[in-house]
Amino acid sequence: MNHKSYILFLTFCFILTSYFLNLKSIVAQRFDSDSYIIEMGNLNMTGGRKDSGSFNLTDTVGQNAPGQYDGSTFILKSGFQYIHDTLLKFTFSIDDLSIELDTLIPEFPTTDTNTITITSPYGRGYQIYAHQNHSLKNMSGYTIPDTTCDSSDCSESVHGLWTQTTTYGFGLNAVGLNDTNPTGVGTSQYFPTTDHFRQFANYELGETPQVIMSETISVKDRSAQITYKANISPLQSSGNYQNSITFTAIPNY
Amino acid sequence: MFNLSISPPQTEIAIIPGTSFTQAYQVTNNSNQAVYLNTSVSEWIPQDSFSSIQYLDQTNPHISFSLLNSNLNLGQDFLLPPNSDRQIILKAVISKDAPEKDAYFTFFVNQIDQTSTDNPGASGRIGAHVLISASTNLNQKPKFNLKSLLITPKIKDIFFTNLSFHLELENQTGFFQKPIGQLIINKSDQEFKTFDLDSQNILANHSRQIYCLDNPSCSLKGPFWPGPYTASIKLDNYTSPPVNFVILPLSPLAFILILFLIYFTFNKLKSKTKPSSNSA
Repeated sequence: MNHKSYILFLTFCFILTSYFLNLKSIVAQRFDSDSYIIEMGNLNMTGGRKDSGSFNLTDTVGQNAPGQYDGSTFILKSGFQYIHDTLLKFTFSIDDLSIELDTLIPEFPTTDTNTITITSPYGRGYQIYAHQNHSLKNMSGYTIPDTTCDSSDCSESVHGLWTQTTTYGFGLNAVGLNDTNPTGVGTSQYFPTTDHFRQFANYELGETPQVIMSETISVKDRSAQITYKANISPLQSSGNYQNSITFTAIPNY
Repeated sequence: MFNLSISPPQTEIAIIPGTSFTQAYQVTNNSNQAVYLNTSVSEWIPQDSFSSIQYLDQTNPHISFSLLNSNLNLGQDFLLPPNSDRQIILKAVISKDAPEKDAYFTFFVNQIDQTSTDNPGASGRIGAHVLISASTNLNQKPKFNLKSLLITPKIKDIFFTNLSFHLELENQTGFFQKPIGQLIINKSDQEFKTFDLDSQNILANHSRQIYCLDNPSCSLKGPFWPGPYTASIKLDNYTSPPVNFVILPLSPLAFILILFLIYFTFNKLKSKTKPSSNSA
């Protein structure tokens, strides 16, 4: 064997040796039963955010190569601890549960308001329904009927204009807000203006809760002002009238 | 005040009848007041193609729900202190004789007022969906059909038109599916614009309005070259027939017409006012 062939042979042996010395066994996880199969490159045991009075900790346990890796054109965050901030929860709030219409004077409409706020991180959006357990009712069983609006054209599912003081009843309006500014976002398809009202769906009468606010995109802290309006006729029986209103928030599927 | 969070907001599972699954929910009271709550599960069906749903009064005889929490049952009242959370573990058992089809539920956390049976005032409830496909075949092949593709506005101009594409896809299988694909606009057989579709769930044997990722209204701003265009949907295993539309140079034509009318009117007025000359 001449000198050149010898060097080539040694180089080949060196390359082969380096290759085999660098080989690592690949370990994967597989769990199966009659009703499932799980095949994963690794199985995380825990991960996320933990805190106490004296520390805040984010961790990922069980992940291959967890951590942050920075390149000139990218930042890679590997591990479940880094997605805790992106997993916003589906959140719904009502700022004031007490709705006080005070003393009702015939043909002097009275209103009260509260604000509902929703965060829907799930990309399909949300819907908010509203219904009442029964009409405004007093201890003797007399009711303030649900409004049918000025042209007798509104119901729990159809809006109508309600501006006249001789139109009686109880109803709601919803208007989307940006901070405190009315924008109609999420509500304008149900209530075109602040003078458009609907009845609450009446659970006692078997009416289905109706959507009063919705969007098809993910939102954070989207708010709407709910206006409750009541107007009574001079013939309305006296007494304390009350009912309960339920708002239901669900994500779009 | 009512301020409640739930996570995760939706669970989707394909499962063999005769088995069960559990889902752990994190329920958080974000307010500074304690709140009394209870839990419930309601079944629903889709109502229209805009993701509205209709809750059913009946109990599904093949899928039963319970809580795995040692000290809490489904429907039982519990107190959630201010600024605190609680893990609630929902268990669903699918009976062995359950029909091989979908069932859709919402797990609700309901506010209750323990001080009054009539609960006057407002209250809130928050829900998380559970979509269940019960089947012995856990690898259902998707099958979609383009139900409608509307392109607005009806009159399309090359300059003053923003096009919007409204598409409705139909799921022709008995199990919920997500369409993965694109809306493709071609001009003269050349690809003009492509939108990635937002892979929203389309429920069993149901259709849904589908939006575009990053551009929910699937809108396209002008100006455009005039002429015929086509729009079609391309999914993994389905390509829809193309929908044809035409964009016309209406505004330039109108502009030229107006210019011509002005010129014609001006000329006519000019010839009327010019004195006629008679030869001697």
